[in-house]
Amino acid sequence: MRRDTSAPAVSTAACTPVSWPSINSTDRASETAALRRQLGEAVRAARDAYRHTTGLIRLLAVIGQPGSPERLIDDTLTVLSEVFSADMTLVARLLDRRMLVLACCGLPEDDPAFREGWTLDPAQRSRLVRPGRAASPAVPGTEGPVPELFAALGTQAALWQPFGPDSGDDLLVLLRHAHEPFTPVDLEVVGSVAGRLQLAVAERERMAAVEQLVQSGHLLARHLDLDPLLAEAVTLFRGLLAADDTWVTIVEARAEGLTASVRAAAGHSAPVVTASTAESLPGWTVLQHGRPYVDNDGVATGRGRALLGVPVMGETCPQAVLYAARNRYHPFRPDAADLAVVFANYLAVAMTNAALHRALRRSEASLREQATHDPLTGLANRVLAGQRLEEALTNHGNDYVGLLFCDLDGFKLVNDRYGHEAGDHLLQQVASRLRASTRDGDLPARFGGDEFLVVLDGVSGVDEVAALAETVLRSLDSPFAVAGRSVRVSASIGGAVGARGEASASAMLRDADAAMFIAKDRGPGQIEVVPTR
Amino acid sequence: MDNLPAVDDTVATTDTVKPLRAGIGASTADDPTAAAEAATQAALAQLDGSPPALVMVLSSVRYDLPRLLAGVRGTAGDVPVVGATTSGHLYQGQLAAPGTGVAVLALAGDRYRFGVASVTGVRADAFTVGRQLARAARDAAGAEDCPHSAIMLLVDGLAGAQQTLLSGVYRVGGAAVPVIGGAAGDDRRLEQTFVFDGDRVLSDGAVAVWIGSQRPVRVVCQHGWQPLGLPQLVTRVDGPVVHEIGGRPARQVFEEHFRHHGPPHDLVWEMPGGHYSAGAFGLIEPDGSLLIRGAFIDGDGVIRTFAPLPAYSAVHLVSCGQDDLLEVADVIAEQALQDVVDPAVLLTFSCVARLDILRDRGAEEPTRLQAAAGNVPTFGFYTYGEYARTRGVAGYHNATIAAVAL
Repeated sequence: MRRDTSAPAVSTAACTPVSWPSINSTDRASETAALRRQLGEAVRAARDAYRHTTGLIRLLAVIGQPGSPERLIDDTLTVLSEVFSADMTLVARLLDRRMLVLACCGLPEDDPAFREGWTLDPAQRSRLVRPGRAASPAVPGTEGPVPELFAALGTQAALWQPFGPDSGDDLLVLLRHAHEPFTPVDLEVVGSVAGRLQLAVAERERMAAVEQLVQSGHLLARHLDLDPLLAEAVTLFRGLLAADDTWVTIVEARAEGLTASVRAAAGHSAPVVTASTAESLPGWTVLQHGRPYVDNDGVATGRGRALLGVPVMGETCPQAVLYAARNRYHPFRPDAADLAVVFANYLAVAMTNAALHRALRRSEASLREQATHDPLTGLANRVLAGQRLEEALTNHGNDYVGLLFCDLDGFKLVNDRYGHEAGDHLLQQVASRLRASTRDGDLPARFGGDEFLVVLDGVSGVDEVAALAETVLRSLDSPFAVAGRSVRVSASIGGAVGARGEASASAMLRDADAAMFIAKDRGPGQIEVVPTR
Repeated sequence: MDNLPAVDDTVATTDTVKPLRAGIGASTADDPTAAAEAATQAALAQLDGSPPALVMVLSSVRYDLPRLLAGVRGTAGDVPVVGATTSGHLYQGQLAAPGTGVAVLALAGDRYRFGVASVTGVRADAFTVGRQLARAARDAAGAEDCPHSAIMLLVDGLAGAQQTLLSGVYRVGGAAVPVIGGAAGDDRRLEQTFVFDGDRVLSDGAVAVWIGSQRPVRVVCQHGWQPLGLPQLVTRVDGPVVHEIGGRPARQVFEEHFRHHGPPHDLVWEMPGGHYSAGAFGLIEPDGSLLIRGAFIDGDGVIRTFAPLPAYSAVHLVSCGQDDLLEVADVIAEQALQDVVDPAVLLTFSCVARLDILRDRGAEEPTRLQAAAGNVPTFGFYTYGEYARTRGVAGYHNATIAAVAL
């Protein structure tokens, strides 16, 4: 396609003039031709030397640039394609009977080789685990014809260089469609690049993993509720291990034994394996002792998926198991389990924090309950009633706020006759009837002794408060069972009605209390309601 | 003629496939609407009533471009329109000098499946937008049943990172999809160039046409530049500025070569902007061929290239004569048309630097291209860089002519 410049025209005008010996013109022409030939060869040699130097420098430069491991491989493959005029440059992994393409410059991005790889017979595999060059048709000095799996791509020249932590399982491959065999120097350059690339990728992967792990610790620790924590954990775990799917199974000790249930998942599909008991979880015999479990052969899944499990340890045994699944053509590397263990430790800490947080919240709720409720009856106490009354008066609205002040008639007699325990029992029953006789949203409360309050948030006026007081009074009509006897008590009820934004809680309490005394003066079971000005 | 990809002649054209028809029109009218309508009507008239499948517009940047495109679309109807501003264009043996007019190519028939897409943001992340562009064009073509494909790229000529964009395209299509195209021009002003997609005029953008085909599509390129002296190593570059060659000041090495080895004196001249266009760098490729990178000495006496040289590039300094450039017009037409059955048009993308060097012989290139192409009409433009990717990922050229026959 391009013009043949292998023998560039070189002007000799710049050369230092020389004195030629006296020879005939034929000899001179012959000698000139020989000199031109030598000069052409020197130019070619210099060109090749510079080209190799340039190529190596460019490759080393790209390997030295910052970036993610994926970007490093991508950029290196691009520069390899440019430097060697290779139609395809790729990083591939040798599996038992397959070669999986991990990254490539030259295959269409949707090529199945990225997912499924190419079939690899043992003879080709044994050939590819050693560095080599090949050309089809074969030329002297190469390793014979291009391996079949490369020839199927229409390539006539190939170069491959094993590299990777498990020597020989990853390959750097350069392919040309044209029959232009790679040279021994090309192989040396690629060999040098492959070694550096492997070190650089490993280093970047380590750094990226450490960075991800550090971030994971922060990201997990911020969750104090279990479900968001687990949702974030499976997402982070998936990214850390480059897994297709991840999920977390919670292990709980119950009467029927150790149960297992999937609590969160991330990825393309539903969890690959599920189980209802811990014993039936894949790898449990290993996991229960705190060790990770790796099944790259897809035995456990039965669906050809590589599986990795890692326990999230509780005090003595796993409280959960994190699982990750990948296409079995992308098996988990040995260091994946190490990463998973560290991540699981972070999750264990975060789950412990979440559990402590839940306990703390329960404790706080209990304290709050104690501070605002009457321990005998479970009703709100006077503090909470006062707060609710103030809140109600602060709220906007065209209606009013009511307050009932109830003082039991005859309570002292029951207390004196049957004892304090019976009195307490009576108070509990009265509280229960108060709850039942008030509206949703009203707040019955124990003010102290045998005195009760009811905060009525939203009444039309004095009449409605009186009607609600009547309802409360009627709820006390039927006798109470106390100390094995049937006793009757009633109440004197004073009511107050206040306008929102005008009346104060203390004024209403004062007025309701005074109204209660007015009612009591009229005899047991009376009601008196007054407006609070 | 070496290293041409083989064309598979065993693929039979089915009776149901209509042959490709091409119509070409041009106008130099000052009014954009009038120019667009005249050129488009002339192009459509040559289709014998067949509906166009793709319209390509090449225009001087002097026009009100939205009005120009409205004129084209108003005449051509609901059809994909792509195009670019140029630094001159050529059609059917004619040269439209920079700043003169508009030319329109209309293609009809179903021999090819065309898919058009465009992107902006080339300067910010050329690789990513290259990838997006190729994916979108491929999806728009819906050419899964086509065994062969090619991509035509038209890119903002001043956006830089053209090879990086090409690398992004390459990741999508791979080695089996050749790439042809050009970087838009702006009548040599070097201020702002544009590409067209439908009625949109894009700056910092690129437009792609995915070409699905039943036969291989062959992309070819030639330059005609000749190496001077020994190979050199570029030892210090900073973007487009070349500081050192072989550890010596680049300007010194540059001038030494052209003083001792250069072309006839009348071709070593400076453009009004300080361009020193008859000298360039040839990046040495593994097969010994040269990837040309145009160079010039700017007003400050600094050597600049239109596309950055990679650090520590192995290069030949190259030069050329007018006849060197013109000779490759014959070669490229022959190569592009070789074995192509019933070609309808020869698309060419030639560098404006060639036009600079050809000076008053500039019109000879279109003439020779058309003469070499015989009765196949030629259509193309003078670019700020050429795309011709046939081997590996590299395929962005300067001072070169690239072509494809459809």
